Amino acid sequence: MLSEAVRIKFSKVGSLQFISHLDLNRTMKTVMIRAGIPIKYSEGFNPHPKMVFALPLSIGAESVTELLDFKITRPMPKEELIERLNNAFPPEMRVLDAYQPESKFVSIRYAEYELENDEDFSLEPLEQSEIVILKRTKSGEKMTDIKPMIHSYKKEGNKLTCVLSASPDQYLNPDYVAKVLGITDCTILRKRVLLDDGVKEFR
Amino acid sequence: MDKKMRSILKQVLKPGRYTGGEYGQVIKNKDEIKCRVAFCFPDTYEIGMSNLGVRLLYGVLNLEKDVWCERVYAPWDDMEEKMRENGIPLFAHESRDPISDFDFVAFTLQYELSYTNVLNMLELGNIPLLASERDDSYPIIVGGGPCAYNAEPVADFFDAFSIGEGEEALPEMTRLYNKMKDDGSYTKEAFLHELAKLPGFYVPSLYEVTYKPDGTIEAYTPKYDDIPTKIVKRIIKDMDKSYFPDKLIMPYIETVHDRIVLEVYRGCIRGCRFCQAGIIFRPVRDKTPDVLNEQAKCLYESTGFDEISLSSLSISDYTHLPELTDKLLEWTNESKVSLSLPSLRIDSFTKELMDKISTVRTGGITFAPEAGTQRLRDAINKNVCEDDLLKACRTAFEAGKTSVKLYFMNGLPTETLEDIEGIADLALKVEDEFYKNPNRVKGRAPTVTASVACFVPKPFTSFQWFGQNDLETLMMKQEHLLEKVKSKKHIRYNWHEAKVSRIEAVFARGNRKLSAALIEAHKLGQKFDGWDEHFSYENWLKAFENAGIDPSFYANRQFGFDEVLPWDIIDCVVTKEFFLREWKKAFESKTNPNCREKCSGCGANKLGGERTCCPKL
Repeated sequence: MLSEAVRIKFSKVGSLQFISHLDLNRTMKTVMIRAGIPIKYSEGFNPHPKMVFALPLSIGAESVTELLDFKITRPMPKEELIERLNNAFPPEMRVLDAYQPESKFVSIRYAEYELENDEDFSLEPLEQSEIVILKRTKSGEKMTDIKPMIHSYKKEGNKLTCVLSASPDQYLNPDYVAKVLGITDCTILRKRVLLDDGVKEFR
Repeated sequence: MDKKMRSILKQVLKPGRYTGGEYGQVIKNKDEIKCRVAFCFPDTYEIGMSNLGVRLLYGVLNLEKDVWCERVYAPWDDMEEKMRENGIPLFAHESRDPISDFDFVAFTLQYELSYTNVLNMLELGNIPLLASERDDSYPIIVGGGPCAYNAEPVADFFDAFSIGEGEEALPEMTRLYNKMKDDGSYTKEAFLHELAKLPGFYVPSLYEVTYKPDGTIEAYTPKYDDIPTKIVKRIIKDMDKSYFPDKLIMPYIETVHDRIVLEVYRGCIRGCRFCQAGIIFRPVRDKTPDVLNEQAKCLYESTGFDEISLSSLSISDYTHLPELTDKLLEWTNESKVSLSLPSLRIDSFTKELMDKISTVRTGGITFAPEAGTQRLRDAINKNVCEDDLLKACRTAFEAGKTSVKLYFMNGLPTETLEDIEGIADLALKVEDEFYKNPNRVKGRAPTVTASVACFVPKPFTSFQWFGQNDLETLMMKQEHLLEKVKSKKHIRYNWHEAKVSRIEAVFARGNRKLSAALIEAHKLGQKFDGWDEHFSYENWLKAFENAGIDPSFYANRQFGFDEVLPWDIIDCVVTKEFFLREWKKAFESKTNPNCREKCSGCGANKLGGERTCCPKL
């Protein structure tokens, strides 16, 4: 039985990779209503359902680990909540899990991505001691060494699995890795969101 | 999604316009389908997704078991470029199949300035533009919507038009098609001949147009004896029983109207002499509050939209408005759903109504006096007076509003410079009204916006014969008004580009000869003419020149009262005699009562209908 704070993990694939974070937010608002979830609204003059997403994805990336926090005003069995949401989701979004949050979004340290390219590619660009690129940061575009933000990576065939920094002050967008590797047409899938050891899954 | 499409979508603006896959879209198994319809909206996704007519017809066609209706929108130019580069033909959203694979390609014609998009979309779909150049292997191209009431300028590109309301007519069309395919009698020619016998369908190729030496029309002659000499529009008789969707397609990206649009009634009792919609949707047919309330609740639960817009041509003329809003408010307040009433008349704007609706609670409010003096408002039969407007503004200011937007037209029949100056005077009086109010918002100045459009004479209105003011006159009037208001710092003035309105007028009152000009404009790259960044008056003048067309013949000439009008092939049920009576009254600045006060005998009651205010025949 779920009550109060709820976290859902959901997938967002296919055509949804082209839906921006802002649009996802709006979609989720209508989803909650048509799913009949007793979501808690903000107080004030213009009340709206309170929802917090972890790690917004950039356009062109798919994910099987999207996280959303909200509160419910009456308890609901987990199975019912999942079923209601799945009936209200567009086909390319599915709830994979729902639970009481165990830690806050700020303790997210890493995220694991899978980059798949049509053709083979070389890992050499990642193997340098420094990888300095023009990167967007909070204070504008800056030349930044992203090497420290790459925790680990592994290549199998044309597929690269990598664990990248995903903390609020050290966030590495997987697009930069694709760019460094020269595989900008690759598909990008976020697989897991991880704690500070880069192994244990964040919940 | 294939790789090529994925790579393209990564490079265009708002890729969500093209992905499809929304909640609520209809997917069917192609093997079980006999007839596929590509329903095209010749403008962007954001505009098309908001259109109530498209929502209705998409739903009603997909109720047919063996029909699959999909959606198509005009790609913005960045996407068009990528599609052309990569050899991707125009495709439907649901299946991503090219539109040339479909049995029908239907276009809704909402405004004249979308005609070039129709041509561009056909071309992007690898479909020859001219109906005469398409053999049986191509889809049947059908048009409908308000512009189909005079579709002559695009007649050469279409196989057929559905005239009037399509909820019953379009399924009948697909049933006829399926029947003829099943019994082996189908050829495009045979089908179009049969279709022309169905009520409300106009097959332009089956009517020959002959012209007089002066270029006006001599006659429309049917090519067969068994098709009608005039096509009578279709209406839905009982709006309560007519199809209304129980779910909607939920766009991911922001569209023009992200809300439930509840159609409260069809038609209009007012009879403003410039207004086409007020005529072609006659007779007035109400829906009952209980039906509306149920439909609203159902759509709220199935969509999750938190705003309901009560839609109709003039919402305050709905007989049961208080009852309806009360019923809705019983549950909408609690569910945090807001109501909006977008078409309030000045004389109906009260404090009680204002308290009920939310659009009024936030933002400014808009009124449409349409003309600056009482004389001209009488001539156009607007039936509101200055006191009504000032009272409405007072109500708004007392409730804490500081900004009011006023809609006007310039170039109306009988208009003089005095009427133009009246716009400035009226705006100033509204401003004064703000300062007269002791409870006004302190420390803030009012903003009164006067938004002035150029009058475009439209078919099936009392002003259908009127020659539009020429460009110089329209621009001189705009200048004149600017002189009057430019020193007034609380008055904002914006106006419509007269050149755009002129092109609109050409096509609104055009005949078949204009298809040549459309082809020329298309060749010059014209598309999205309703968008400032795409409209080019110079290209249009060139297109007319290349096609040997004098635009003034259509836009600025006063048509003769005994002239055969291009739209005389269509019977919109309101009679020419009525329009003529109204025309004469306009020039005497005499008003007409609304339909509920007194029937003016327009002829619309010929079609019957439930819950109308018309006298029974």
